[in-house]
Amino acid sequence: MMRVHVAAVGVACARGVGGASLLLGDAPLAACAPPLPQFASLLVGRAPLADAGEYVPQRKALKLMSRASQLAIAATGEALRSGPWDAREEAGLFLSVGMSGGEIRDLAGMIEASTTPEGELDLAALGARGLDKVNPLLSFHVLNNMPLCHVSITYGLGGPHAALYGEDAAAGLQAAHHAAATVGGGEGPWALAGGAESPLNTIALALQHGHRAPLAEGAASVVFAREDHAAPDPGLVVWRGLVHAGDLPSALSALRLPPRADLYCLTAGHPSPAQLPADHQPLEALLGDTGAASGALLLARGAALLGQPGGPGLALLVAPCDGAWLVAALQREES
Amino acid sequence: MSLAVITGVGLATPLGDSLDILSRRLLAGESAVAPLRHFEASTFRCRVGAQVELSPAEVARASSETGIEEAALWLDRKLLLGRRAARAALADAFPGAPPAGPGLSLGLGLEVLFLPDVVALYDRAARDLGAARVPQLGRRFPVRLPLGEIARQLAAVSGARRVESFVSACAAGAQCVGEAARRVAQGEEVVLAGACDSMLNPMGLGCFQRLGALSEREGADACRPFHAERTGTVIGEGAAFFVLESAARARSRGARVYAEILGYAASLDAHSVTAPHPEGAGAQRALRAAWERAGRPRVGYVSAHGTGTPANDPVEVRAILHVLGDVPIASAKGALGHAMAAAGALELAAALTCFTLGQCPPTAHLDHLDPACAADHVTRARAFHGDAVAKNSFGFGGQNAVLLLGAPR
Repeated sequence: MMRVHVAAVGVACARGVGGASLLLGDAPLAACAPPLPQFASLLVGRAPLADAGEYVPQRKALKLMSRASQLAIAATGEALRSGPWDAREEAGLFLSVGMSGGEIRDLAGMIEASTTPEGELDLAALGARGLDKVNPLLSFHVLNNMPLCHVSITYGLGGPHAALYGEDAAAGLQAAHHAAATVGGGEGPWALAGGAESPLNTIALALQHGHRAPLAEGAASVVFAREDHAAPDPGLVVWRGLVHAGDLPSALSALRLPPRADLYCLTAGHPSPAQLPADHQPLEALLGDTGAASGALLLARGAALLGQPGGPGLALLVAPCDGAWLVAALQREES
Repeated sequence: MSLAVITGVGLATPLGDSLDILSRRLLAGESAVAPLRHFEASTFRCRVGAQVELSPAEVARASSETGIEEAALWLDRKLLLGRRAARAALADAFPGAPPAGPGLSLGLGLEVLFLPDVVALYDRAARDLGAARVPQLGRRFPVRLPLGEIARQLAAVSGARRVESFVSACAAGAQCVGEAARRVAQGEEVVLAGACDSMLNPMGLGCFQRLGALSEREGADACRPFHAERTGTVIGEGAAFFVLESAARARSRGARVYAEILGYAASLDAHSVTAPHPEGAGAQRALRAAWERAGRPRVGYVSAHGTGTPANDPVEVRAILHVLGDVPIASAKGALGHAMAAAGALELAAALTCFTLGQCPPTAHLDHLDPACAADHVTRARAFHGDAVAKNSFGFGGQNAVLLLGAPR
């Protein structure tokens, strides 16, 4: 396997839409979260992105896109600003995605036409009249794989792919593993790993009391490139792998990494804290609970910190998985 | 050299849950497409589907074991189908005790809206579906079985760990098997791979109807891949799971090997979410890469994606002819319907017939070939000649996945 660099990062989250520098600093979510008009009393993390119009060739394409798809397109557009990133037909694309997009309010017309005066569902009316009230484009908003497909189409990425479903950070770290393995194994010169989620819909917000952190939307896209690929701005951050582990010593051992003082541990999804360093940092404190996007945002934050002068030398990204942890490692390469 | 071998098969299909029965019914040209029984669909424009029988006893037992209410299990049927197939695959591969903690690679379909919950949210005076009534529903949610819950339940029923869930629409069934084969090639001992899906519910059927993707023809021949008068696909449902391990491991324990997975590749059309690339460029890339990774074997059968929609079929045939030449082609969807995320896995099981019985399953109802789809179509069961079988799966939105299978050695 060839070594794989983190070569570019783009994000769309409560801190803004742009490059990796948006994820530097430790300001909490409350410092950057604009209120949502219909839920002004709730702290939620909405990305300051009206829509992804500036990233797509034709605005009419937006009609087919959920909010999560648009966030994914914005984050990817920011990541790909760093250079031409050619050979796109061979470039891989691996995204973690969450529950279906779409807003349940869009079904109001269908329900109105499909219920009895007593308020009961009438399947005969649904078939005869209700379905005609459904926007034919609804499927493009609700299919889980659509963020990946829209990113592929917008940026011409035609290589290996996977849309990995997740409710927390594990799927995003799995997406990164697939992207790194694809590039390291020689299937194309570069690949993109990312994730996108927009949980700021009516139902999720109404149920927010069940969450341990404020809900937030977000997306991140990270370009993995081969060492020998002529990236315009090759990063100094190297992917060191992904392992299942129950504690940091066994994770470091499985990753064949020696313990070191300049280790930074970033978590998402509330892994069991007993074995974590006292100074570990939960992503939720910075960005809120970004669900399926959190693995990609972990990756982006880790790469951002490693890439800054004087930053840590090794970042361990930890997510709960199967009662233990999924641990990814990024390392700064001393040039 | 193979990525992995298949040593266990577990099925829940509209033509039976045994591989041998499925194979023989496909070879006989049977179709499972029939009037819908799951719900009252008489006013829908499409009123047929390929359905799997579920018994009240099975639903009650699953409800008891999972704590999930029976109504949710009846509506969102993919968990029950997946449980049945996952258990059967492990039992097939390991008649004694299965190994502890196999990996799990899943292909999953879309969440299902529980319409009574949506109706309960509806404020008729305001003509709005808002949050105001959510407290009345408590923790209930219009999606009673989120995909994460389905993955957790399938991991629990199979004792599996290290779960990956692929949601690449209609490509998911082949993709989850291909990615599992890679995991085995990278060193995992045993990976259970499979997909389960059912869109045979009012919203699932309704959304595909609104897209214009469904045949409105009545009867068992409603879905006619490659036919000159095809008008669309028919929704099916089911699950197929496979136990994958290395050839060396299978040999050392004397396991039955159904097939070797010789190659796998995935590609993206990067063209349109509403239509396939007109020349099938993405499909060609995936097919070529999988075939070359498999060592360019002599392909004796292509299990096509073959949806029976006007747009898909000729594009796929062109891609196959371009990469593999004039090889025998068939689609199982005329018999099994389109099981969406599970389709690739179900059709992979059907394609194993080439190795288990030495016969190629035909495309059902193909009595008038579309000239735009001209190729060597398997219209009746015929002997399999070749070294490998290709399985194509193409997802809505332009996701392609192709597997190359070899006969067990």
